[in-house]
Amino acid sequence: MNADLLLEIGIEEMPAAEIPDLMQQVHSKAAVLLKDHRLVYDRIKVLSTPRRLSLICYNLSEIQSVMTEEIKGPPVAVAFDAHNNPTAAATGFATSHGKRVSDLLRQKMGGKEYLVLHRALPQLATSVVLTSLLPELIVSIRAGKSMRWDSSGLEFVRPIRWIVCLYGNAIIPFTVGRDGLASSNCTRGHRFANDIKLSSVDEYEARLAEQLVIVDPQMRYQRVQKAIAAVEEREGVTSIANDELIAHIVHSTEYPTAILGKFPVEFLSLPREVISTTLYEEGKFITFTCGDKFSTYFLGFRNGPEESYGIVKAGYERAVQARLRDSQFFFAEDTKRTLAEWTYQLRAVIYEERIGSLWEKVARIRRLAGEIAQRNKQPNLDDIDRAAFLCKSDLVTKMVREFPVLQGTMGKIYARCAGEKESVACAIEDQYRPRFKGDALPVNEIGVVLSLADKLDTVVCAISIGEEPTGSRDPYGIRRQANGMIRLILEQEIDINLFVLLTDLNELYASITDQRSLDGVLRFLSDRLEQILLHEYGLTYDVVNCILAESNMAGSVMNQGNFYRILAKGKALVNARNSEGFDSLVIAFARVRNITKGYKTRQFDPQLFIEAEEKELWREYLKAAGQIKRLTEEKDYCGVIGYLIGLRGPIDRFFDKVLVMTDDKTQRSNRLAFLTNLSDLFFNIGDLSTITVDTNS
Amino acid sequence: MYFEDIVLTLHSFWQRRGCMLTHPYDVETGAGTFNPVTFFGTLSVKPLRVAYVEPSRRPTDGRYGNNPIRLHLHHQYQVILKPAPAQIQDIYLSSLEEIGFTLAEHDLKFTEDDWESPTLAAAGVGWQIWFDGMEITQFTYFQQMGGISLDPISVELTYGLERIAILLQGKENVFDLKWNKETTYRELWWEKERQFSIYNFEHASVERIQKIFAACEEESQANCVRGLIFPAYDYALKCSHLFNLLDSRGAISVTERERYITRIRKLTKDCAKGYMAMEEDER
Repeated sequence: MNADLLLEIGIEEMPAAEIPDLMQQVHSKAAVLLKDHRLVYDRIKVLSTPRRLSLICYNLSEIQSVMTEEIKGPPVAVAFDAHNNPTAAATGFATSHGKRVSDLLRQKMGGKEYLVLHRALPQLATSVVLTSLLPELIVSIRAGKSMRWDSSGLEFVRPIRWIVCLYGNAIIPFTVGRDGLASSNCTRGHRFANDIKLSSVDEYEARLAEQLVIVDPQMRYQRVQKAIAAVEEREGVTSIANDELIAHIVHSTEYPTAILGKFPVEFLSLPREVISTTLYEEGKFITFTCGDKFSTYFLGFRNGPEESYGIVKAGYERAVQARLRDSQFFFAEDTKRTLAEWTYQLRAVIYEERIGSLWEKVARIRRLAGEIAQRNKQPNLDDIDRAAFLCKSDLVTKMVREFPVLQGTMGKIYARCAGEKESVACAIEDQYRPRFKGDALPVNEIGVVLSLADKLDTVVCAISIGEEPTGSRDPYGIRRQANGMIRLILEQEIDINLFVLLTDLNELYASITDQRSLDGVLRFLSDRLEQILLHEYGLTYDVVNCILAESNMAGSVMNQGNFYRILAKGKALVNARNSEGFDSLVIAFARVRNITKGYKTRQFDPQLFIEAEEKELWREYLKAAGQIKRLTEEKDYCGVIGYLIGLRGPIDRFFDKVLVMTDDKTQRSNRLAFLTNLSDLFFNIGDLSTITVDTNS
Repeated sequence: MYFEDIVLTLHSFWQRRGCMLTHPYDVETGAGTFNPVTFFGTLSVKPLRVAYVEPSRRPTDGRYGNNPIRLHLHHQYQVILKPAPAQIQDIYLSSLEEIGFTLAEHDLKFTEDDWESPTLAAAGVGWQIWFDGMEITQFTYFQQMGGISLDPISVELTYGLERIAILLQGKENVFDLKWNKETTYRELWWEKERQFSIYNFEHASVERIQKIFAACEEESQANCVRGLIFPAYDYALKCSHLFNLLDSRGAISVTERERYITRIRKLTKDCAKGYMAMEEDER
């Protein structure tokens, strides 16, 4: 008879954040294993608490489903002799499987006929299959971070301490690990309730609930949500709780019971970011607002029943008060001085031994920010300088040392306390954006400049001291910094050439860097840009190679420093590549590029031109060059490509009629130098010869 | 229950479970884990059961004696069990019952906290034990010590004695605790907290301490090379404390912290390697 299967893996408290993935694995891996073992069922349900991962498989068949296996024998051609009698090959094959030749079938395989034995696979009882299938399932579950705890050889997210396995009302006996941890029908209730001996799968959830374990996380989720909603309605407050916090509560309790506490009103003098961070970081408590004010209520979830509510509430309140007292101490100490006064403390703080103090870093950020703002023609230079001056000061405050996640935020708050302009205060918080992939960009324009300057400085410093990322090693996190910076430039369309900027300001880094490491910075940034263009902007490899290619022009690498323009070129190419004449332009340019590769002289004399075709190309070159110069300045790269397409005919005719590599040395040099100039014109977009074209069309 | 009685009760509890009772180390430590009994004891392949009190100095945690629970020096009760018994969570909980808690009346959570000591090149997996929202114990299955993967695995229980005493005695403030019948925590420790906070935060000479750090680092390296592992480890401990002191002075940035940590980690890793070689020779 079909029956339900229950597997419960009993584990010491698992990290809340890992549980959803572990549940998912139990579900999908069980489904695969059951299918592979020909066991059919109605559906699988996975449940969990911090101490258990449970699988219920409903209406599981009692025996493996029917399956016939085909065993291939000798080809018919060698299985029978001329008189159609079986040969030794045929009888040998049959007897080795305990059959007669007459039991075999003939089947065509790959154009040849073979003797084939069809044999029904044995149908094992489910209870037998499970004894090996379930241990395999258990050890196949992979934790994000696993551990060892004894000599069992097992590795898991936390120690596995018990296993329950029932099929219908029978125990499926098996063990896992070298120490032989055995399955049984004994599970455990809540830590302070009783153990349970199960007699059937049906009673699993109900018996656990009696012992204060709500084994279905969905039900705990509803319980938590209901409790929050009840507080909101009763007290007229709104919770500040994100999904992550709710999930944490659900997956860190077996029986969540809401406990509403209150902290003394005096703490409302603290900024709300400080209160909510303190309560979140230290106890995963939910905080509330009441209208536009912060509420003194906070909500915690006890892992246990309603009883002794008052004791737990008093405990929570004491713990919260002690922590807020701590934050109050930090705030009072920090505001004994203005934020600007803290800036001077940065002199004593080493940013990096080989580079210098944070004070010096701030000085560099001020210089960089000022230059970026000027080149970007921003009006508010004084505010930018003020924000840059203050941007790292909160790092020496006690609050940020306690809660690093508040860096920038405290800078903003302390700037306001000191009466700084609102835009300056906000920029201090914004400098760290984007903090991770997909994070919001800075909102105010001072913040944009500050963020750019800070990230650029970090990247240059790290590479200068040889800490360029390799493989998974990136001690200063500069990949993330560089990615954030590039995103900012591309999305905010900041028309600035970073490489030129760094070269112009090279005295800033004179003491820590040399030309070689500066080249390293350019290379590193180009590599990051390449990755972003490919993976986030979806440009194809050939387009990216084209726009990032260096020409042989002196200082050509510097042209690669304006990331915003590079993206604009890429977009123009994507638009142009389907337009009339583009493919033949690529082919035409390839001829120019091939013949001039490595040629560096650009001096030529138009008077020496003889052929009509080279004179024509020269005239067209002159016309196009003027337009392209103007269009490039206007960032109209579609227009540039249009003029290049116009040169296609003259180039083709030139190569058809004019022999560049002539024996006449003067003519040859003159023509090569001219073509090099022509190639330079194309490099306003990039190396078009790298673009893949369909030569059949 | 008086503060000293908590220690006595835990001593008796763990002695009955086969722990030998040892003493705090005489070099400043930031936690019981730094005590050589734990550092070298967990590296060894031999079984170990030990319990001791460790006064733990954390200069940045000082609050001039003005905070109800924060102290620059607090007391840890440290237990190491190797191999880790399968019932260890229950054993730990019964130790709490033994010192007087009725656990079912409270909210007790094993909250994920993968402990790490970068200076000891040590890492473990485990929890903070939250008792009505207050952290009272660090519970860790060590996976690595001194950069060496451990086998067998030790479990470490670190009770925060002051916090436990606050809960047991029903006080709001650590300084109101009764150490014994006659003496309060305030009488014993308040003035020390005040003075050390002023010193740690305001007056410790950054320049001199950097020099002492460098000297201790050299002393450690020089002796480790000679195979004098234990003296070398003492100087690594001193470096660790001096680094904490520099940190409390706000004299090092996030980036520079890493460099100091790397320097100390090098010392402790060398000591661990030396110790393993020594044990290898014995066998």
